[in-house]
Amino acid sequence: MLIFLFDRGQGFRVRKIDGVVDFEEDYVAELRWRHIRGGGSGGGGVALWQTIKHMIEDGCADTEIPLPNVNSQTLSKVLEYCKKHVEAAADKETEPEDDKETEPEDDMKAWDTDFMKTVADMMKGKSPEEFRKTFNIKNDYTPEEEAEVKKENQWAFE
Amino acid sequence: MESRPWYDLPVEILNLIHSRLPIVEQFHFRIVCKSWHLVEAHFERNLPWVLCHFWDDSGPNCSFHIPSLNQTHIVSDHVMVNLWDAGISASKHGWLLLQQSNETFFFNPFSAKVIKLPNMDISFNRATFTSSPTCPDCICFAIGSSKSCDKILISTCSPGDLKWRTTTLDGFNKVVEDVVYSNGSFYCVFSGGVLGAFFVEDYSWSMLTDTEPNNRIFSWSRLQLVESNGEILLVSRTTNFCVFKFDQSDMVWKDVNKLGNRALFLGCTSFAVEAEGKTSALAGRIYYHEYPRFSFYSLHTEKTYTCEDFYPWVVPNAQGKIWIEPPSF
Repeated sequence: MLIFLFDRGQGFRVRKIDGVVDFEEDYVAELRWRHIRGGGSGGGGVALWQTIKHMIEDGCADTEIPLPNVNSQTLSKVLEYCKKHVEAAADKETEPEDDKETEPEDDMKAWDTDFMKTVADMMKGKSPEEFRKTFNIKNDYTPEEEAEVKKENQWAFE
Repeated sequence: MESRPWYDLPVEILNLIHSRLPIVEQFHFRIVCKSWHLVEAHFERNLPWVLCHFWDDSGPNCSFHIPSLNQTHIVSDHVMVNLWDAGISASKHGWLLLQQSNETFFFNPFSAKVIKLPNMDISFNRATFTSSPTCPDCICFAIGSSKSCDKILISTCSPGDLKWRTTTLDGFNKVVEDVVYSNGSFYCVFSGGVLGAFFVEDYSWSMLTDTEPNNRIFSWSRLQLVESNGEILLVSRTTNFCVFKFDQSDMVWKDVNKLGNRALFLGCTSFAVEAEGKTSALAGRIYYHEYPRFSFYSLHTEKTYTCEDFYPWVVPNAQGKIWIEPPSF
């Protein structure tokens, strides 16, 4: 099975094609991706990959899978996965004895863990105000609302 | 290159990040902005925390111990100023009922809120309360009974009352060992498993067992009552722990050999929790503190163990320690 991603101007889409292994298409997708600016970002690799996987397993991905809210980094991971998957499939076809299955899901998990860990580490020992500064977040609480939320757990804000 | 702002991260991602934060930062995280407020708590909300209070070089100190994260957080003195020098009579719904010389008050160590009660005019052995003292129907209950006195003194009061309402009853020269509130009644256990109940609605008292000690109920330490889903449980301790359940139709204590998915925590106020999911290992255990560590007794194996997974801390004897329900999140 091959999954490939392409851009239709409104976001990325995934297509599953059975049988035919076509590297070029894949690279085209990746290249195109590199030229696209913006789009949503955030979104965990694993969560995204699992969504795709479920859609494929449910058979609803015979045509296209819309991928909202995918950032370029995540997408590159997915593409990497797809490529690996394709390569693995290709290897299998050419050298059926050689069993060098990669474990892309673990890769994705590792990537996700790494990302979450980095962010969480950046937050350790910081006050809410420092969180906002670090992540460039505007405080949308009024001072009264913020005081109200803090009041219940004064112990954590000393 | 455009990028998605941090305040707009999907809540699943926020939860993944949040789950990796220490306890205090979990609370900080939620007030960064409104969308970040939607994260779930990443500590087990069914397990009581341990609150320790102690004196060190810097003066009085308090610490929270969070079982599922195995973290300890020291709280500054001025939040906890009320705790120092006070006797803790009860711990429920995150509130402590405190006694400081003749002053009685509620103190919430999470919010540092204090709710004063009128001074108490009886000397009592045990006290508890019905619900969070911020609820309009909260009632505080204190009872005194001793070997040397043939009277039972009962006092009740609600936050906002000007004085305690006290009743004197004929007693039977027995120490009241524990009290628990369940479904409109304060159940009071005396030495030997003698049980009486005070009904809030009509302000009446009645004995539920006779006043002779039950020879099956013998304990080296004081008997402890636990309320669990409307059941009244009694825990006695000799070399092993024994659990009894009060049968309301036969009006007798019956042996309990299994706690099901429940875990019991014995303290000045004892808790029963449903141990499910990540905490299912705690089911069937009775937790308590025995210097210098937290321990549990397994009703299943009938053995005592030192806590290693949850509650692994060593707490010096000089420190006051109490189970407390975790804060609102």
